[in-house]
Amino acid sequence: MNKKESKKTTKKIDAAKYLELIKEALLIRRVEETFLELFSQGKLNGTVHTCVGQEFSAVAFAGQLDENDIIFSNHRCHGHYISFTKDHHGLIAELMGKEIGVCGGVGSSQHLCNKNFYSNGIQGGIVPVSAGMALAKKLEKKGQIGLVFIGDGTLGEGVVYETMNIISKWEIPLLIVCENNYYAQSTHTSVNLAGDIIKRAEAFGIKSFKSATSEVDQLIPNALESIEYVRKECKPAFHLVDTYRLVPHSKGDDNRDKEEIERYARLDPINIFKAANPDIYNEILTGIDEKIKKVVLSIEQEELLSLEKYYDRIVEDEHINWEPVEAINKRQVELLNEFFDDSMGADEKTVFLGEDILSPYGGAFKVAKNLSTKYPDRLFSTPISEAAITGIANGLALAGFKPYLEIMFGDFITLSLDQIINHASKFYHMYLKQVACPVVIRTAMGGRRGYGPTHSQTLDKFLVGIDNVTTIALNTLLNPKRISASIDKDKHPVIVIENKTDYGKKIAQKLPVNYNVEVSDGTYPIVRARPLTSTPTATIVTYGGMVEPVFESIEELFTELDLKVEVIVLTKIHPIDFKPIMDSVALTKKLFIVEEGSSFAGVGSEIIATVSEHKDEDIITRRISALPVPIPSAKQLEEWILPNSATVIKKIGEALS
Amino acid sequence: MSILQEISVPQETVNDEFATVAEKYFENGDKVEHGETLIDIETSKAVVAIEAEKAGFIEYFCEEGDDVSVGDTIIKIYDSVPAPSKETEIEDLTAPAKSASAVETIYSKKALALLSESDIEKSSFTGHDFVSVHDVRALLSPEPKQESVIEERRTPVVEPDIKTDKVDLEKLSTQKRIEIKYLSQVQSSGLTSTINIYVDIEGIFQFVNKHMEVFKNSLMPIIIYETARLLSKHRDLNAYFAGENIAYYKEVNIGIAVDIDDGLKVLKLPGTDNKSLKEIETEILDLSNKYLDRKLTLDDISGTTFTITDLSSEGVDFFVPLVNKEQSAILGVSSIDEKLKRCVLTLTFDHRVMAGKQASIFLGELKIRIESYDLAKDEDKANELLKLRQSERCGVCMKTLEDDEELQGIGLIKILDHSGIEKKICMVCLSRF
Repeated sequence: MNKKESKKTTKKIDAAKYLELIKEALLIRRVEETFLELFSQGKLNGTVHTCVGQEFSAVAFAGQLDENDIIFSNHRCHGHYISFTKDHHGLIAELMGKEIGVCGGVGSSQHLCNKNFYSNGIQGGIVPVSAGMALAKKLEKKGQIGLVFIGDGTLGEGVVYETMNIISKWEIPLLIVCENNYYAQSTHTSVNLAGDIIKRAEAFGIKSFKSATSEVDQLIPNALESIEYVRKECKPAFHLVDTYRLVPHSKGDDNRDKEEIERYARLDPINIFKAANPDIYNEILTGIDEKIKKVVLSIEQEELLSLEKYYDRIVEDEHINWEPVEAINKRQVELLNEFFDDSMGADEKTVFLGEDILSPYGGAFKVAKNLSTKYPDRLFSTPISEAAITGIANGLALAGFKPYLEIMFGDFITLSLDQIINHASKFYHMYLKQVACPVVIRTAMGGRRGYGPTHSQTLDKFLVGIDNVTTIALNTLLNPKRISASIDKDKHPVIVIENKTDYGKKIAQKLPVNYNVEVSDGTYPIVRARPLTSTPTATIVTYGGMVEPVFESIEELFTELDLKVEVIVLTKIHPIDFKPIMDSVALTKKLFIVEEGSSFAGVGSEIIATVSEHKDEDIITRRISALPVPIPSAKQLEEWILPNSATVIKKIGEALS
Repeated sequence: MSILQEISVPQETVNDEFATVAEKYFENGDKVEHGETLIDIETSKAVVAIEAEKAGFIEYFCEEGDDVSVGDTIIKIYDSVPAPSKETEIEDLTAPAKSASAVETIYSKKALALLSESDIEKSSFTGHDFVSVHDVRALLSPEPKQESVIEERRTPVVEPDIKTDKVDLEKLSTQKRIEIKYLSQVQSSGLTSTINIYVDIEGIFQFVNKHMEVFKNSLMPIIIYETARLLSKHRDLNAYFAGENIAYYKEVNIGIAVDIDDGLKVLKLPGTDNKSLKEIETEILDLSNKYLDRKLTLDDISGTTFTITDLSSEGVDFFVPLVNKEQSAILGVSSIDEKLKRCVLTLTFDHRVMAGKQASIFLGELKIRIESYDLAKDEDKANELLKLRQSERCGVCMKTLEDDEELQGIGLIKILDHSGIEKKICMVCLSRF
């Protein structure tokens, strides 16, 4: 009885509380209207998306969360930000591009980060990221939850449904708040949206709620109820909020019917309050406006962020020490498995995600063998949802975990690219270095297995040159544990390309005769194979699965072509440590790059371009790579298309003739 | 059955690629005891006896007379009688390819082709990892631009047309083949030159015979003694041509070529420049006895930096000695012309390391130093000089009195040079004025 009554009483909002909510909503509206003014004065950078008319969604959800909960918002985030952080000063400074802005002016309107508040301008992608952060909260068992704001437009993104499936299956405490303002930018839902919104969530077994900003009396308690459901049950929920944007999506993109806008304006709680209580309204408004005016005036005097504080130059090690490579009588895959076993055992923040990784199967290449039995709480065998699981891994990383994500085949990593390029890559800088995203994404590439076009390609060219993302290619010369130890300590995203034909090979078994094969002492070591006593006369740079074919070509390159080759094997293919390459080319004046993918716009192109930029003398260069067609399954065809030791010898011979 | 000991051809000298099996002491399957000699291997320097480290049953993997490569397994000792040889290869996956140890030189096809056209031996590249056609050319002609010279120098190899009904063929001994190999290294460049000088020996033997106990009427001890001291000053003669570099020895180890009954051997006098005349005499005697008793160790015959060869006892008037491998010069001593009281000293040198002028200066100084021993007969003068001995250096040759202790009575004397400055000079240098 009592329970029921108390539930009922929470549904009522007293006058004092209501006034507070009006004040907050009006502050949001006035701040945004100030943005529109400042924009027309040319004092803002880029664009702004305001939530005028939708403020009560912010007040109801963001305003009622615990400060330790996680909130992820979208491009229309000002209201959510103010309600959650109560920091309009930092927001205004941010949009005015000042150093004291919440992200130093880097993020501006769409990319905010302040303690547990995040926003990003990518539709859909924020959903799995927030799910990852909410999963982190679940693992920490402190009763905190995650909340993500999406709009009706976001419902067109597939990753939303991948994530709904996962949060429901894994019982992740994430509340998805869908603000339905009926327009995706300028397109009405009737054009874009099929079926029913609520039923979409219900189809995944997610408890759903429905409210409207025009009914504040119900919205506020409903919002709290959905928040508490997620918190107490430790399950996800979906809350659909009907609302309406009274101003354009951005600026100059509003073709809506004016009568429609006016009709909604009459339903707007602030407008209703204003009509009912003009004196109180004006008093509040004056107070708010004075406050904002002062803030804007003081912010205008502030400095811009300097380039030095934003951009860190990559500095290469000047001094490299070399030591012999160490042969290990264990297969690469065993060593990788041992590494994960050890690190999951040693650090409770280490989690492992991937498709099909439960024991006894243990993943397509058995890297995760037995991990699910030893660490059942931190190993997540995922649905086939590469985009969502990459986002979840990103979220876990943002929330202080060390996630290792396995993408079963390298070809599938294209499905993760939004999460890599628009999220993992950008978080650190766009949030002005307040957070880092130490996610690790591992995947198996390479052909020679007859797996055909979609399971054989080496796509490394698409994974290099991504800002702030380190790309590693394992090889059979170095203990993967040594490289993994560096990856484990890296505070930024790392993509690890493994070669499926290398998994079964033991370490440093086949070394060229009369060669010193040495490894550098850097964070991501480089292997250098040079003749015992002779001065090298040609440089080959290679990595990953091409190491063995290159080593096999060394003797014939010498006996047939009189070339004493120095081979440099990169582990880190982005960013590349150029010093050993430059040093070698200075001696040899010949540079050949051997890569398993096709050559155009690839790693080889970048190495040759960079070396050319730094060397004045003529250098003979060639990229030796796969032919630019999809990898066929037919064995002989595949052999013709992928480079091997014979290709290396032939191409170098042609280059020198 | 398991293997107790596996014996491979030892690397006795750095540059040996092969050795010859001289004698096997057992038959396959014989029981051998710890410490028993199993096999004699003849290397370039000596015959090496290999002993069993374990008792067991022996199996040989070679025959007498075989040329075996360094590192080849030649013997295994088992704990039981071995079954007839069946090679079982055990792949050792933990060991990386043996890249650092035993370097087996790899030749490019063009290098091999050029080698077969030239008279350069492969041994010239012992210790190299890879020999390209450029490396061969570099050896043919140190200045890479003289391509035309290389062409001229190529001497086509004529396959000897041997008619066995007219000749008896006798296989070259290992030692002879090695000797050829060693002498080819410098000589095959075709860039050696030879110079001679007469040395007036009037009065020298009085000194020699007074101070030497055994080597009466022999110039060798003082030639060795003086050459050693000059070599530390003339570094080019204590060095060798090494591709793009000249390798200068840090020690002076004069080798004495000896050929009495047991073949040509070069005996080493280690640290010759720090030895007294008496010590030199004693060491030559010791080495000669070891040579005759066939007790020379590897160390006695390796690591020489300059060679002196003496054919004076053979009545030779004049001869051209050949420069040993990894050396830049050799000094030949011919017979003494009793009528003219003189002998000929000959120096063959590697023109890639030095030019005729430097060689001539060396030989000229050596002549003066040897001839200066004549001074010793004037005892009064010698005693006078003794008083002037000071522990200081000669302003010309930088010798200290310690260096010259053996000269007994010859010290540094004060002189005034042409600009009137007081200097000290040793008697040897003084005699040149």
